[in-house]
Parts: sequence; structure tokens; C-alpha cells
Amino acid sequence: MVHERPGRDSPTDDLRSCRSLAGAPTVPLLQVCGLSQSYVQVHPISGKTFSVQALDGVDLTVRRGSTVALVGQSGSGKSTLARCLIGAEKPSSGEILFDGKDFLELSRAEHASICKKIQLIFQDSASAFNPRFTAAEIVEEPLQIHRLGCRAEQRERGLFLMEQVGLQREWSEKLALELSGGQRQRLAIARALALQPEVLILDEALSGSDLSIQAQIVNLLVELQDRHSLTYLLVTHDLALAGHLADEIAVMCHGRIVEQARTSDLFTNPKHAESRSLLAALPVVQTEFALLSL
Amino acid sequence: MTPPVLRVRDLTVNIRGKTGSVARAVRGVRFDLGAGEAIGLLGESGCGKTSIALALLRLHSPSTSLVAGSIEFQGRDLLRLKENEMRKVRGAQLSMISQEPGIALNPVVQVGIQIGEVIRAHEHSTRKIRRKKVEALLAEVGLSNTSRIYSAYPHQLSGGQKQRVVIAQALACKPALVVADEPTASLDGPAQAKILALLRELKQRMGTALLFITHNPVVLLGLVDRVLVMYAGRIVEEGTTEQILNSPIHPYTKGLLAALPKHFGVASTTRSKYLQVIAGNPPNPAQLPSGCAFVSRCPERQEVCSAADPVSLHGPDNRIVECFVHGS
Repeated sequence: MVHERPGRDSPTDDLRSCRSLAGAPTVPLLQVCGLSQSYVQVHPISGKTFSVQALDGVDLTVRRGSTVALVGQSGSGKSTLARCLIGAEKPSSGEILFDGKDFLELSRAEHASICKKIQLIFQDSASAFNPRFTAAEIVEEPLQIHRLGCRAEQRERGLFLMEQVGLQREWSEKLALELSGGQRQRLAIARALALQPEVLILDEALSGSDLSIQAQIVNLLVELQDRHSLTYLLVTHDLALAGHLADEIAVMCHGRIVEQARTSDLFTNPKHAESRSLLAALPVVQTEFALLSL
Repeated sequence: MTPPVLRVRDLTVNIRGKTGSVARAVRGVRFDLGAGEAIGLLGESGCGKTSIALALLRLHSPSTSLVAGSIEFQGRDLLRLKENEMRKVRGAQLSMISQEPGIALNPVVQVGIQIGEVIRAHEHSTRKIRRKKVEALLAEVGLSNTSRIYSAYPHQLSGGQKQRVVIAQALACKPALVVADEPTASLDGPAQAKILALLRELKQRMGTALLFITHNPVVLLGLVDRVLVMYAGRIVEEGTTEQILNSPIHPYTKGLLAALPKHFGVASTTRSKYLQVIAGNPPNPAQLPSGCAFVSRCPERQEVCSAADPVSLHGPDNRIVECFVHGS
């Protein structure tokens, strides 16, 4: 399935097609239509303003229970899209349908309840935590913000979540910075799971860690997906990892999704030039793969 | 056979922490590097890779670190040189490509001037000649429009361009040995592939010896002749790139290669998405267990493993394999 960029002159047609899907039995969990985001920047010396088009009509479909990888080079707009999806940024145009409901036109209360369903895990887990919080406090904070349960229940749930991601109860009083990189990533996953989300957005959450730790986290994510039927949106520039974990891959380039295809199709028959150039950067790994198949 | 450019013997690095604990970052490492040879140093974070790189350039702070052993470079022991002699070696015959080009470059100095600084420190030259040399270097590392890049500031360049500038800086005085510490870690796929191709080409063209430090075995292929695998401050396995990647012997190397995602691109079921893992975490270098440092994570451990250190054991073909099960 190749997504052509919608013509700019007919955005309404595009929106209609998006809405017609809502309510159907096979409604995708997350549907993004014509999403655009531009930032206004001021030149530091001349003082002139100019706009940067970070997202330029993004269309993306994420089916329930699947893993979709969003790949692209640095600066292609991957992180901006992730931030729009969790509501951290308001896009300048376009729509995001979560379970058929327009995410951007909800009342505050409805918005808060949907926010619980979409959680983001950051790349750098060390800077994503309050350094003065203990591990237990970090996991319990989302429960406190959303006022779920009494103090004792929150504590019990926090410890349960830590166990689920393979962190020992004894570590609950440690500060985040006392934990190793792999343990911190587990803690970030525990915190993201606290509100029983349906979608986890992993913004480069697996890159930068060592291979043995990365493999442990991959297995944890696969296991959690299996157990809680989670949907993953994996934002990454590591095509090998995307190809391993994802059912579908969406290739991003200059703020657009230029190709969304099943993983095996993308690897065997990439249609867009950007997909081909990303795959061409992989031969090191592919040769390696041949070598590794002992 | 020509004598090696670099001969490292019994190198140990101990680093004192804030709380008074002593991290044994490097514990008795020995290796040789021939002229024009490229070797890879493979290991996870905290295993002592960067400590070795810093020791080679003598950049460890003497107030917190104790470096012992010998590092013989072009026949002289670097650890016994006076600081002013070391400054003549550093940057001229021995240079380093650092992990984060964004941090390595001075943000308020034009990059061409920064490359010229290296030449100025080691050679007598006029400004005009330096500019010519720098532009030639920029062309050599594959940058076009060299006069524009020369007067650009680091923030005006992309990550890949900055990394090329740092490579040009390292090659400015035609060193005999370049230490590259994870030069592609901060780059995305296509940029990473381009930088690796550049290093491969430069290595052949200039005949510089290369010590390439990385945590990712896939980048070593086609770039280095031999690989040293490090774990907890020791070289646990050594072999040609083919040997290490095709027929690893040490349980740690085997585990590391098995953990790579390799079934990518095929339609997968949940079951096939699980990767093989090395259980547990690397040990804290300040509190190493007795015996083999890998023992608590090793799937093939035996009783002897936690009793004694597997020091100077060899496997088949006389390869270093510091493991009681596979070496002798």
C-alpha cells in the first residue's frame, strides 16, 4: 500500500475519506490525515521571520495491535509527528482520529481520557525523569496526576508495574540516576504502562543502548504487546530494528510519509526513492546478516 | 615483518570515583597494531573502550586516574614521555576522532581555522599555505564547495559534515595512527554508511593505522582486519574480523552477535520477534566479581569460572579466548 500525498487543492475529499472509515468495524486505532505543522522562526541577525514546514500533509494508519515503524533521516519530521500524536503540540492543520474520534476537537475532559491511551517513551531515559524522584515515585506519578486510586493502591500498582517490566521491588527506593541504562528504560516503560494505554509511541527508545540491553528491551516490548495487545508506533532511524519489530513501515521524508508498506514488501520492493536510499545504507548489515547465518 | 606502530602491554587504568571507590576500567590489556593496519575494539558501554583511547593519547586526568603498563608508539613509551614531548606526538603522529563532532568543535570558530590550528601547532607554515592545505583536506574527506565550508561555523553544518570536518582535523598532519571513538554513533543510517565508506577509502589511500572503537559489530565489516572484543576492562577474545563475526568462540561474543536483529524484512510472527539475549547487566567496574567477570551472565559457566581469572588463555589458531570452557 503506497500512500500518495493528497493534492493540496482537495483537502476536503481527503477528510471525507478519513471520516467514512470512522465507525466501520475495521476502524484503525490511529489515523492521521493531512497533518501539517509549521514553525515560525526568527533569523537571529536579520530579524526576518520564516516558516519551517516540519510536517507537510502526513497520512498514517495504525491498526490495533500492530507495530508500525516510522523511519526517516534526521530532520524528516518523525519526532514532530510523535509530539503531535500525544498532544504535546497542536498541528497547524489536518486531523488525528483515535479510535474514530477526532483527537484535536475534543473537550478538555475527553482529551484527558484519550491522552491516557497514548503514551510516549523518550530516547534519553536519563533526562526523562525527575532526578529527585525515586523509581516508585516515577511510576506512581501518572496515577497521581489522573487521580486513580488511593495512596496505597497507587503504591501497590507501582510495584506491580515495576515487576512486570522486570525491576525488583527492592529497587523502588532508588533514584533514577542510580539505575543502569537498561533498568532506566524498563522504568520508562513501566511509567508509560501505568495508565493502561493502548498505543505506545517509542521515540528512538531503543537506539543508543548496547546490543545486549537493546535485545532485552525488544523482548520485553514483544512480551508486553502479546500480553496487553498493545499497539506500537516505533520512531527510529535503525532500519534493521524496524524491520525486525514492525509489521508495517512508514518512510518519512521532508515532513511527508512517502511510503507505507508491509515490512516484507518494503524490504523486497521499495517503491519510493527515499525508501531505496535508506535500504541502500543497510548493506553493511545485510552482508553481515549473510555472514551471521552460520 | 615491520615492527608494529603500537605495542600495548599490561595497560591498566584505575579511575577514582567521587565516593572514593576505584573503578578498574582497564585491567591488563595487550595488543599490537601494525603500520597501516586497522583493528576494531568492540564492547559495550562501560567496558573500558574509551579509557583505552584516552590512555593512548594520555588524556586521562592525572588527579583521578592511574594509568600503568606500557604504550610503545613508534618505539617510544608514551606513558614515560614528558608532557611537552607528548604534545608533539598528539595530533601530529597520533590523533583521535571523537564520538560527538558537535562537542569536539569550537562553536564560535570557523571550522577551517580549527583544522588549521592543528597544522599550526606542529608545522611552520604561513596562513596562506595553511588555508590551501585545509581546503585540500576538506576535499579529501569528500566535502565539496570547500571555501564555503572553510568559513562555516559548526552550527551551519549537518551532523555528517561536522564528522567529516573532525576527520579532516584528525588527518591534518598525516598521523601514523588514528583512534576513532564511535565516530558514527550520533549519525542516522545513510550518513553513517557514508562516513564508514570514507574511512575505508582514506585508510587505503593514506596508509594510516586505525583503531576503531564501537559497540556495534556490523560497522566493523569491511573496515577492520582484526577485532578485539572487550568485556569489563579485558580483551576477552581476539581474531580476524571474519573469525569474530563468523565463528565467535567466547560466550560473550556469541551472545552479542546473537542479540542482533537479523530476521528483518521477513513477515514475522510474535514468536520470531524475540531476540536471544545475554541475561543481566555488565558488572560495575568498581565492584568486579572474583574470577571471570562474565560469570554471572554466562550460559556455559562451570565451577572453575568463579574461582580463578581466565588470564592469557588461547583458543584454536592461537587466538586469545579468555574463557576456561573454550580456551586453554
